[in-house]
Amino acid sequence: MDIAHFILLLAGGVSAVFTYVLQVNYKQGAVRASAMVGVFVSVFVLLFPKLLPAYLTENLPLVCFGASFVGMVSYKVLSNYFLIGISGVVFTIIFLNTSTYFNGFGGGLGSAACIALLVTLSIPILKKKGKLSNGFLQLRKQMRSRMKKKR
Amino acid sequence: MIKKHVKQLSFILIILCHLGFLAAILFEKQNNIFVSAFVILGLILLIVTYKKTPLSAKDHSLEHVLTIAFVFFGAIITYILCVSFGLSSVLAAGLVGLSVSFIPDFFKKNAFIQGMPTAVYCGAFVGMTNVSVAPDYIFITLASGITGILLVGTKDAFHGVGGKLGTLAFGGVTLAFFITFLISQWI
Repeated sequence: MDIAHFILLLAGGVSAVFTYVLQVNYKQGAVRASAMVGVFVSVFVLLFPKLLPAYLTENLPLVCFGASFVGMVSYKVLSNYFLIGISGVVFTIIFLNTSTYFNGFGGGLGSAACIALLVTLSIPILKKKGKLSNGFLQLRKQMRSRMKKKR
Repeated sequence: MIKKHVKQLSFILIILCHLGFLAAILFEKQNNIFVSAFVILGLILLIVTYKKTPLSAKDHSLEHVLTIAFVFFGAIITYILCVSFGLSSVLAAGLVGLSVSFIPDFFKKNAFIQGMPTAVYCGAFVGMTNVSVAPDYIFITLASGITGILLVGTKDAFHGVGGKLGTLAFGGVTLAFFITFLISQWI
């Protein structure tokens, strides 16, 4: 793995966490937080096109924008910064290996982000005994209790 | 009853988009053992998450039909910014998302407008499609129409999961590509 790939992996993780912080801690809303990250990185690349190597200049905005979709996750589903960062890194790995069949297809970044997030969600991290950070498990518990009440 | 079927159908469509995306990687990179192993591990973990997701909910609601118009609006504006103004696709989609995200602040009481940025942002992903795939506005109209219908049907499926909008846009663009391909073969 060369330095460019390492920078992209790092950028993926940082963008995902940064979007999540903007969205939840600074209450900017998911759409604005993600769009701000995308605009910031693409304007940076537009202003300084020679600052980074050509490979990074081409791929950095795509990685940061795609990873920002991971950060759009609701705090009810996932609220662990570490896991969001890991999702961003997983997204970058998927992005770097995306099939050439889907080159230029809109929504490819979003699909990769969704897959990365769902993959990370499947790893149930137990903070304390019985307290799961996995949002889907909590959701399922709520649904079950509702179903029982109805019965 | 119909809503339950809509929920199951939309859930299956999203799963198909994900599996298709991963299958293409697996097919293309089958010589690379590391990538193949990573994709297979990802597939297993994905299936674990799908199984955890509740499908039995009966209170599935649908998005307003006008959402399709917002998706179309986002897609066309992004596509014009990309093609006519020469902006990069990321900057175009980001600008559209950023400007639209301020609109609900002016109509705080209107619940319908509050959901508008999500729909327009979803359309912006459709508009990010490269000119080589989407040669004209007809393709973008078709793709954004399909994406809008998908968005209306999937209001509660995968709610709050990042990347859902992108997956829907991907589904819309892929279906539109498939339809136009079939038509071109037929003619």
